[in-house]
Amino acid sequence: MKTFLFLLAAVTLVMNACVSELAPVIYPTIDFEAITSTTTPLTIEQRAQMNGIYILQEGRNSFGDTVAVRWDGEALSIYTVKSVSFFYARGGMRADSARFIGYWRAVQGPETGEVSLNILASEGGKDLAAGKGNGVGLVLRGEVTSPGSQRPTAMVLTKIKALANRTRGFEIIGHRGGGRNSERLGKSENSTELMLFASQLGATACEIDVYGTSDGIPVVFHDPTFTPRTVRGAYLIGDISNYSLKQIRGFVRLVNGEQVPTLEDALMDVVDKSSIRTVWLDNKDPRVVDEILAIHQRVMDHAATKRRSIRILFGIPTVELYDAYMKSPLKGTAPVLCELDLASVRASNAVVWAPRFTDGLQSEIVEQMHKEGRDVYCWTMDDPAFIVRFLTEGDFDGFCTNYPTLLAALFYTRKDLK
Amino acid sequence: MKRILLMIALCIISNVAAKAAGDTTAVVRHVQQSALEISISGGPQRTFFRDVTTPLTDQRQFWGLSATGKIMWHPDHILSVGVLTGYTLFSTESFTKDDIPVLNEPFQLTLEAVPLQLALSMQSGGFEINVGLGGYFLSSTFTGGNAVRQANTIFEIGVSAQASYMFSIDDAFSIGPEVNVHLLSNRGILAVAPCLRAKWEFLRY
Repeated sequence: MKTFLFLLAAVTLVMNACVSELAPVIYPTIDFEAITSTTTPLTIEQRAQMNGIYILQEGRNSFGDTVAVRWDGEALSIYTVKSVSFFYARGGMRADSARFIGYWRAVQGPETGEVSLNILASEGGKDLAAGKGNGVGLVLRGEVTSPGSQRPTAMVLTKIKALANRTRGFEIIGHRGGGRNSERLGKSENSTELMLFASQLGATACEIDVYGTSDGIPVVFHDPTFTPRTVRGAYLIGDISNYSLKQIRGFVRLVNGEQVPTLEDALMDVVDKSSIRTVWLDNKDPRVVDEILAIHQRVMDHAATKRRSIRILFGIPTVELYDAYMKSPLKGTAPVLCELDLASVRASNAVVWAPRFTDGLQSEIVEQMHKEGRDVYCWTMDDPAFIVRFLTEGDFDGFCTNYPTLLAALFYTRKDLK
Repeated sequence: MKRILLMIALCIISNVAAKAAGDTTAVVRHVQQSALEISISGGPQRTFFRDVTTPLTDQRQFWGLSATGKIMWHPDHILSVGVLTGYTLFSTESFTKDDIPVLNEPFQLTLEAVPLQLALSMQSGGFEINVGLGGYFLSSTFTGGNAVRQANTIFEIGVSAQASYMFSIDDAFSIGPEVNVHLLSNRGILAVAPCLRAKWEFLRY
């Protein structure tokens, strides 16, 4: 009888051994219209004046000692290393003071809350209104709410210096459209929604994956097969290349409800609706190389009509892709990012070499690539210790990361960049 | 469903009572003997999906059917081991072309599976509980309005469990009610089937 009961208990255990779902994250509802309609937008110069490294007098417990404050288009962003959080705020000047409201969000957990910040006339507001000085000493003063806390807590930041930068420039590249940890963001990986959100996370670029459907249409999707990790919909199983775009559009959605985007639609949206300046196409399907290159041409033509500066890199991650690219009649029509050996980088005339970080700093090769006029992007950098080491000891032109907020916070606040 | 469970409970109670009264209709293992047996079971099935099956509806529950076959080796112990297979229809849905503007043609979708599992079971009196460990050949079929039929099959890890109560027909045959459960946790599919089960001990040694 004991054995019988044991077996019954084992069956019960197995039947209940399901992975628990992540709780949905509910962003605070902010009335941005109320603040933008009652303030004057900052000029580009005023935004540059505000950009900088700030130290926290209040709010250290939640967000650490030092943060990066950076304007991205109309949005005021703050990136923190501690708790890896980003702030998204809108607002502007009111006479010789300024006011901003928005929300903050920890990207590695469900924490979120509201934020309101002011610049008083006596704490840098007058200089900001007049466009005087470099903004050092400017004080952002306000409060944040936190989950489970009834009362807002004070937050006070003071600008101490300009953001760290790099002469050659640097790309913060959001992996899979903005970060693989997207299940915490309410936006699916490789969705158009995540690509348009990536700059809020601190990304200046995004890497997206490209597969072909059965009817030869490039779509943005990471895995070769449909699985519950990436999609909702019971009937599409097995290889993505088994299904037409119409079947995919009709019977499946990404895990957060978005459509699987076609490459062309996604890139057009990135051009039209985001500030992303580089897109890395991580091509997975040699069958659709010509279609991808044709789409690249159409999107770049569209960008030109919009006077939009953007670089879309045709990625070559495998020998199969390399062979397909080299045989393509459209070879040479798009800038290439090559992840293979140096001979392949040179033969494909790649403008970017992208080694994996586990190969180390490779300083001599990176220097040689720079001499040849090529950039070097390293992937995939998620660990803070590695990011700091590669930023300070290496000479890379960009990192692909699942945590653009973390990379942005570390990059902009570093003191000893090359 | 409640009626079926009540029937099973009544069968168990009546059998236990019959055993206490010296009745011999309940299955009693032949002690000191090993045996090979085949059993089949089948019945209607209710399938529960964790998520909606298509973006076109909110439906998560479907009627299907379950048929299971097992070949088991009974050593001279309470635990027996064998192989479980069969067929299970999880869901089938039909859509008109008005339902799917993007396709502009009617479609019928079917999700079915063939389990292939290691079966472990235990008996106590006429009561038997079984666990199937292994997976399912999960198959999805699209039948389009233009008569195109497209099937895709993958192997998916899953488990099953069966609980039955058997009544002897004769020395080798027995029959009884069974509850059959299929779980494909990665796919978010749980299926429960009240079944009728028949068992034949075809070799005893």
